[in-house]
Amino acid sequence: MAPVNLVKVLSVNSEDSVHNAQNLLLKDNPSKKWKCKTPGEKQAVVILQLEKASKITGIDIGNEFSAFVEVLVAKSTSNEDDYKVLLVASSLMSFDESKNGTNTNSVKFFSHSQLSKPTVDDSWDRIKIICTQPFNKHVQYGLSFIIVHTKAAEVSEDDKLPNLGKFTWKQTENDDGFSAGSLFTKKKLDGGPLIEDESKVNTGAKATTKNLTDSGEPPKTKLDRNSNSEKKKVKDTGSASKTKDTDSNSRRTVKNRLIYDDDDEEEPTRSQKRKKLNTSDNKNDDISSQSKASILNSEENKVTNRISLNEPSSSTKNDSGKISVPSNLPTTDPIPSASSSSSRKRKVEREIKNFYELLEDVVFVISGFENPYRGQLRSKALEMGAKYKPDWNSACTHLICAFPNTPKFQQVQGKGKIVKKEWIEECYAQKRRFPWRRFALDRKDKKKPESEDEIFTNADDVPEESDCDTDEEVNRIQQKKKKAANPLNDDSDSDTTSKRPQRKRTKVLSVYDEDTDIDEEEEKPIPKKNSRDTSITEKLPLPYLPDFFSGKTFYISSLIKSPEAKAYLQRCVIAYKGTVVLDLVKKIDFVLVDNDYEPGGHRSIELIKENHPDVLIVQQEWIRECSALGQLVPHDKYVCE
Amino acid sequence: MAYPQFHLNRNKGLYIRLILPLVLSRFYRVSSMSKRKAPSSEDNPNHDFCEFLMELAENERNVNRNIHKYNAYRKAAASLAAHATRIKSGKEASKLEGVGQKIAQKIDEFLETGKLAKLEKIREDGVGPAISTLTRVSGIGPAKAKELYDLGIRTIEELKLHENKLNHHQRIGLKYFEDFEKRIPRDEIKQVEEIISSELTKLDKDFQITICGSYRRGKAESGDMDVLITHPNYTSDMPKSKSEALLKQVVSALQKIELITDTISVGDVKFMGVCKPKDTARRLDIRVTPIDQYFCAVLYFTGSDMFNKQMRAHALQNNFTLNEYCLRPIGSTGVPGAPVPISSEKNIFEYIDFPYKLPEERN
Repeated sequence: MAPVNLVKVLSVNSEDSVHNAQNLLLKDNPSKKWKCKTPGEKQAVVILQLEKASKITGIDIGNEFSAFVEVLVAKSTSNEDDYKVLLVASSLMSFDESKNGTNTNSVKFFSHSQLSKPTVDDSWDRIKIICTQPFNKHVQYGLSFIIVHTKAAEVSEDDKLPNLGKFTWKQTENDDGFSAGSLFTKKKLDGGPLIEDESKVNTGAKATTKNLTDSGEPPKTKLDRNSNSEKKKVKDTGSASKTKDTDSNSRRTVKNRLIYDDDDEEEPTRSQKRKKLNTSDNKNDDISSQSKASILNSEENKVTNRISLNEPSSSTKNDSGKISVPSNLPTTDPIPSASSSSSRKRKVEREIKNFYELLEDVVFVISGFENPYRGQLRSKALEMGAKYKPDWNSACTHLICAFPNTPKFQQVQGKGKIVKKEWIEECYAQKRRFPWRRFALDRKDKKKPESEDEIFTNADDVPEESDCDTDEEVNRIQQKKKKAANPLNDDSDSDTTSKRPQRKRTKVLSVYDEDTDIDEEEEKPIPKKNSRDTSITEKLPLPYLPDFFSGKTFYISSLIKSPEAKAYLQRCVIAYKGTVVLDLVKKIDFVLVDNDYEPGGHRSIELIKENHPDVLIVQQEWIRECSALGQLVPHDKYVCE
Repeated sequence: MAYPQFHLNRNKGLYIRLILPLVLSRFYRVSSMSKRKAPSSEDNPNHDFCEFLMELAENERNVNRNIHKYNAYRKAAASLAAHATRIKSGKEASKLEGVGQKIAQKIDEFLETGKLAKLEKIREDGVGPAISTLTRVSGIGPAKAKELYDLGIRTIEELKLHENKLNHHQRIGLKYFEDFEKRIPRDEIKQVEEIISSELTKLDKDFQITICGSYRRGKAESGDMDVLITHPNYTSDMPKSKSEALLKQVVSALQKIELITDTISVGDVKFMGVCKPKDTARRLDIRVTPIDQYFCAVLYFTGSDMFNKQMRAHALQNNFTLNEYCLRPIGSTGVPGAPVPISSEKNIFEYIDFPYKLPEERN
């Protein structure tokens, strides 16, 4: 279900000088459009080359004043004109809308079932898009974007994957999000606070792995871990069947979600079923909970790995390392200054709710997200007590929406609260309910004053942590570490919620002890992984991490002397899916230097420049700034030339 | 019912996809409806031409079963009927749309001799008139009439003796033969409309109802009643069972108040039957349409046939295909696209850039 890259404009019959057809190749930039050259043209046609021949499973189209769009497909190997209709001419704007110039940028999702058969079942690498606007001759029309979704064709992968009863695990990019561990994690926490989005953990882990390979340390791959948990399943034969049940169930869900369809109505029942299954497992089957816990444990290993590997001092401060991650990455707080000041003010009288009822008065509808992400988003909201509805009705309160102008967006506009997905992500990650307006999709909504207060969960210790946002960077790290210790102390007071998991954890630990895992985590002294420690890990969410450094390679200059600073930079880069290289052989995009670096005179830098003519020398402040804002900041300001 | 023979043109694909269904659906409709079409009015200056052309048309349809010749005669008759002055020669007539060389010749012949040899021959033959008579029974089409003719049945009286040769629909047609021959005054349809409206409102205030056909076109009398019903909660992506339920609900309500007396057939979307608002039995059709197809259906069932044909041709010129369900753009390769959203009957005209005509102007 991954969007396929559009690599080239093969031909276009008409394009505006600014809004040219090349803009359609740009990803994630709906502000760049393709428009025909002159108003009133009969049709606007563009032919695009796909990255590779693929089976198309869905098309998302962002309109720009076209009344109709038609999509045809062909193969570059066959005859030039041999185009087949994939999407029949479909209405993007009605007659009235075309005449009045309203709803000019609607977004439509054409799912697999809406595409023409049998064309849709073959692989294609060219698409021809034909737009027309016969009703309004005074406008330049075209598209603002087109996203082509394809089936990830991995036949060989499929063969390798285990068959689970009747179900075959279909490998996709995102199936990490539904790994057995994540289900057990959720269930184990019993509706209480839980560990954040599994996929993020894993991508983080992947990044770590990548880094490790680069740095020449023994690679500890994800595969190892998988095979371990696999082994364990075989060992615990008692639980094996149970685990399998849940697995196949969850995998079925995964598979179902992979199919790009509209029948969302069924989804909640499926996940409810899954939940039920899990609950009954927990109550009645100790063995299975053990095995689950062991998997959970290995999940936690990942967490620990990721952090400890990038935290030089972690060998001595393992537990604090774990905690410092969420607090150290300022993305966890989308609007640091606002929330910190407000939380400070409200520290005493803040509203507290259980995590599982955080969004209890929310009835939400989702628009513009596709599975499996859609499912993840929904599950998160459901866990926080919100209710899901497939379609908007008067009982609904919130629309979680990917782009403006989707059909649901228009339906809800003026009636309900339209928020970006980050609202759920952040509430989930931070375990507090943020005022929705901060995450409003519509700018108009955003401007209005917030009418809601933040609501905290009992497991929340965020206000303390946000106190030091303006502190010096190095101090910050140290402070974080200190603070990381604080919750430990708080915890020993009278936190009953953390007591229950404690008992379970003891059992878990025994399983862990028996484990034949030969992860390097083994070396970690087990006493450190005491019950308190783990319960804290549970309570602390892993933040939602964007991946804006993805594909970028960083070299941390030796001019940065402070090991803390180095470590911090490394962690930030990896957290946002960038790569840190330790030698100068590979491709390097950025060299990070001190903020007071003066160009010239540093031999090491000159050397890098010689070998990598395209490299950019940037102040480390850039990374900190990106990290602080949780988004990619233009690097121009920080480049040293 | 037999299919008419078609002469497929070169563009077979397009023909089969776009035009054939239209012609077929028209054909079915024509065979059940046109027997009760009003004769062209007496005050029309070309009234006598229309008369004989319609007779020729009937003959082509009933005896030769050539729907194209039938349509050609009808088209010529319609043009002549619309012409404001008396035609004085075949040559003058041939300037009108639908009047070609052959029909012009016939007009000349009629003007010179006061009769038409071809028509005389047909009348003499007796096949045509007999079949025409038999097809006046609701449910008997040209094919069935021919079959009955071959069995030696020539008149309604003979038919009444052989009721076992007829199906349920035809028996009802025969039972109410005299009543169905009578045309329905506008006021009576108006009353029926009010009765159905109030009954439906009792069921659910969201029901919408339109009586289409010549009544909607403002005619003083009509042959039958064509009721179209929709409900905002019923859309085309729902299963047929939904419309079946709606239809059942409506029909049983109307049966309860004894408006509906007989049922000819009832399916998922269409009820055909008999109602008796007063002493005379009337043919009543009720259709349930999804809300998104409602306006196309209203347009289609309002007619007239000729107007529909004209409008569809215009739609094709503007790269649209129009039928009783939806309006679709035609793609670059001739494949019809997805139905466009339609907000009113007028909206359909706007889409295909056809000047809007009030129902009264669609004759």
